[in-house]
Amino acid sequence: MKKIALLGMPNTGKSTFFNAISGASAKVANWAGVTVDIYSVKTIIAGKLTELIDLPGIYDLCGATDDEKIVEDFFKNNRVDEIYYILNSTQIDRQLPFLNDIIKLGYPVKIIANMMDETSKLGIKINFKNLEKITGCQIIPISAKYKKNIEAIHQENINKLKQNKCGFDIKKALKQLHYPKIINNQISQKLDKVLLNTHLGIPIFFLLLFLSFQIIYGIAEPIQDFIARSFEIINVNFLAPLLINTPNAIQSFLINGIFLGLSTVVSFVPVIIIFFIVMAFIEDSGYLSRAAFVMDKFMEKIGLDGRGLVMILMGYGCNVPALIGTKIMREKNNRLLTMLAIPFSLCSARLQVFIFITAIFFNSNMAGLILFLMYLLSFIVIIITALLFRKSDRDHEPIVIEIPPYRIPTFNNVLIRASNEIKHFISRASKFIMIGVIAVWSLTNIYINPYSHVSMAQEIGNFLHPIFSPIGIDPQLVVALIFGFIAKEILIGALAVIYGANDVNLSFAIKNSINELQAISFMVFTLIYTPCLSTIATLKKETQSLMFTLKSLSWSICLAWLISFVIFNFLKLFF
Amino acid sequence: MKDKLIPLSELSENKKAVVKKLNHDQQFNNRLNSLGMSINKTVTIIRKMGLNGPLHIQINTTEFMLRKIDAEKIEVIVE
Repeated sequence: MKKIALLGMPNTGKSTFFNAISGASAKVANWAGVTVDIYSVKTIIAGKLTELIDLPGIYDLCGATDDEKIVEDFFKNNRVDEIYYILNSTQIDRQLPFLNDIIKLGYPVKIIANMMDETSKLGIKINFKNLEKITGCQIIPISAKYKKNIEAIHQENINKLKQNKCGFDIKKALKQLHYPKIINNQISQKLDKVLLNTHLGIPIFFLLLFLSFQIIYGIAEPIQDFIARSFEIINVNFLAPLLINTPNAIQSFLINGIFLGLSTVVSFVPVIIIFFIVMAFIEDSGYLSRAAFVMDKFMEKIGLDGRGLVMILMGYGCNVPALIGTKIMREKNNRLLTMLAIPFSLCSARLQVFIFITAIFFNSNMAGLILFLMYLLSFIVIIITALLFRKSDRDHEPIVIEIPPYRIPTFNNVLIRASNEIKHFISRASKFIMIGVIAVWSLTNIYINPYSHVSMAQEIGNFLHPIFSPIGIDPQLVVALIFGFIAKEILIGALAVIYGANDVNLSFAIKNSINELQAISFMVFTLIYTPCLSTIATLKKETQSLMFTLKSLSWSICLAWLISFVIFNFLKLFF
Repeated sequence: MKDKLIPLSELSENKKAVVKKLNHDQQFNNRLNSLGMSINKTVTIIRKMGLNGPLHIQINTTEFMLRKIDAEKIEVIVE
């Protein structure tokens, strides 16, 4: 099979072109020497079965960023038959020099000159015929977004072009481009005057963020509830009756182990899909890099940047898609620091737990205040983490973020992006989540001493008592925290099991066994110690580093203990 | 005055200048080159975000953001 590698700089419409050819049928394939996922699609190009490989967008082949290293490793260990170099025709002047490096890789190169719809609007003229002769590469002018002239990739090269292995004369090539004296992109300029305004920019950013939040979680949460209820109905009406004659242990394993794991994975599907539809929309429209521009000043001080802030704030809905979303950050340190901070964003699942507990212990005014303080604490913990783990000022990492013109996103592209992200999540994170769920099931259902009715989790709770008693968390709550490790959604259910109460008298049971201060300490610990198994799985998947995942996890747990300790003992002085 | 080198960060809004020196490390210079910022290219500062915030820079059809601290290492001559 013929292999074609698709190369191009960021913001050239490379994925739009790839999606236009692959539709939703792109698959992740394994390539020698490359550990990250690279999408490819098998399709017919010019009558031949071809595998088109979508390599990450890069600016050069110097191996400075992760993406550049991936591409470098790819070409070191794999051979292809041809390279398609896709470029943004409106920026062809600065994208041609890179072509010389690509030609030196030694493969035939075809140039896909994308965004031809925009060049004519800007009055840019390119003499493609001469450019073909100079570079020795066939050039296909297209508009991937409007699917114009894409079929031309099937045409064979008729003007006998010859590539020079040492590259071409770049000066001669640049002479074939004619730019107007003044570049006028009036729509973008006018929009920027408002959206990037020193005074208006920040309020508009928060308004748009609030709107996206409303859209994502307004749509996703009812669906999530519906899924949760459906799983409950399946459990009660089908699964439980079906398993009625099986031994208790197997029944419990299937329902509280496998089935719970499955429903945990599925419950994340709607929020991830809608998150990425909205994110792809914001990104494709050109606003995301502008949000980074507007918010950059505040983030620079704590070692993060504007894009990181967008993702951290998005994490207040759900940490999982926010972590995946950090992919837009190309600077490694910057991205890792953001990923370290996101798990402290108070997500909607944790909010549910806090609402439940504050409702038991406090009147509505006080409960509101405590919820507000929990949000404040979440911000503080993020800032502490960023300040502690950022590289020192001396190793300041310069950043440059391209600001593309505003564009109207195409729905098709946005949908394909979301469907790819969800496939990704299911294929990679689900295994990890299942293992975690089964591990927790084992802890809570396996008895070391079969005659004592003390599960391993309870033994752990007792064993850890010396560590948790200084922060007011008793062994029963430790077991709840072990459950909360899977997902905060099941923490309340776990409390019911632990206290042997049903939904109605659970409040009384909890109120009888712990006091307000212990409740606050428990909430603080719950906020910080770890978001959920899915977040950890995503962290592991996105960083490809067990070390980093463990670092994040142990930092959260230590910090959770420390802050709970300080707050619990401080409050004890007064109450 | 005309031929005096100044850091890009000191160029005023909507003024054009010619890039003369890139004093970053090789890696970042490469990145700037591939965004079109190379020696003798004309650069415009479209806007500066308040409170010493980042600069919105334009070179031909490419626009990008640079922090003030990073723009200080780029020397230009006002056109």
